[in-house]
Amino acid sequence: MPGIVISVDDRVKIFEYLHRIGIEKLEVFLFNKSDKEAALRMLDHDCTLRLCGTIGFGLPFVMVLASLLARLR
Amino acid sequence: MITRLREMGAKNIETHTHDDFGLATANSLIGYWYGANWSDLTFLGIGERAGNAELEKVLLFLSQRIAGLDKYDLSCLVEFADYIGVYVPKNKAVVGKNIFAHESGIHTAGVLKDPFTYEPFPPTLVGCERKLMIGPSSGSDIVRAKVEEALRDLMKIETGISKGDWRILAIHDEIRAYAEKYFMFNPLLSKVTRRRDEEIHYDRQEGSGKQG
Repeated sequence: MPGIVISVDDRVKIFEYLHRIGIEKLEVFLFNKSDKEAALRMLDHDCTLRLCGTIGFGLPFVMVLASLLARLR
Repeated sequence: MITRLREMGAKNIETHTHDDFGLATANSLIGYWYGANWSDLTFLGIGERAGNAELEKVLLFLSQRIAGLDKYDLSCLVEFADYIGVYVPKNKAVVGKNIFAHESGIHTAGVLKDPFTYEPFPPTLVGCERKLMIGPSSGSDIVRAKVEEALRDLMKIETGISKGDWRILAIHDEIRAYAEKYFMFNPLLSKVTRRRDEEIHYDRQEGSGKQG
């Protein structure tokens, strides 16, 4: 987001607050190394909060996917 | 849209609303009303552009207005907002530091009699605390309450005082005079207009010169 950069430690802390509140599901970015490190540390917690990720795909992947979908039709 | 999706047989519907028109929270709630199962929310509404629907507002509304939905622990919301570190306006709903601050006569008197008069939920629910303040628009009821509090906390004296007691009225008059002398008009004017005091004084001298 504009003006906001969050460290891995802060992301894990935010995760802990959300867990304490009782949030059921948390969406995390998995674009870069620090995203993945934060997600792995969250997964280490023994809790019921489910993680789901948003992954960036490059153009080649999208073209392959489009091609597969076209064949299925 | 949600009604139509359900008619089409969709089982799990998730709303994702942004706050460009200031209605993301309302749209999330109406999503639930019509049958969405999930809603994408962010704490303090932090997100792209105007942000997303605010997690804290939706949770508070659900916990206070939906019978039986009390599974969320909201007592750390104010602490969480402090931790995030972004600027939070003092009057921001749910997590603002002033949302339980009362100063005007009618408000403080009402809260002293029954907090529910002006507080739809208790401060402790979100980890905040009530502030009863004395200012230029306060009444004698809050002065009485503060005197009783000071006697109790500082001198261990438990006593009740009438708000019509001459000593309470004298303190009230003194506070009002102090506020009028030191805090009203000049500081407010310079803060609003961002003008320097020298300019204001210069204008006044000019004005008085013209009148003369």
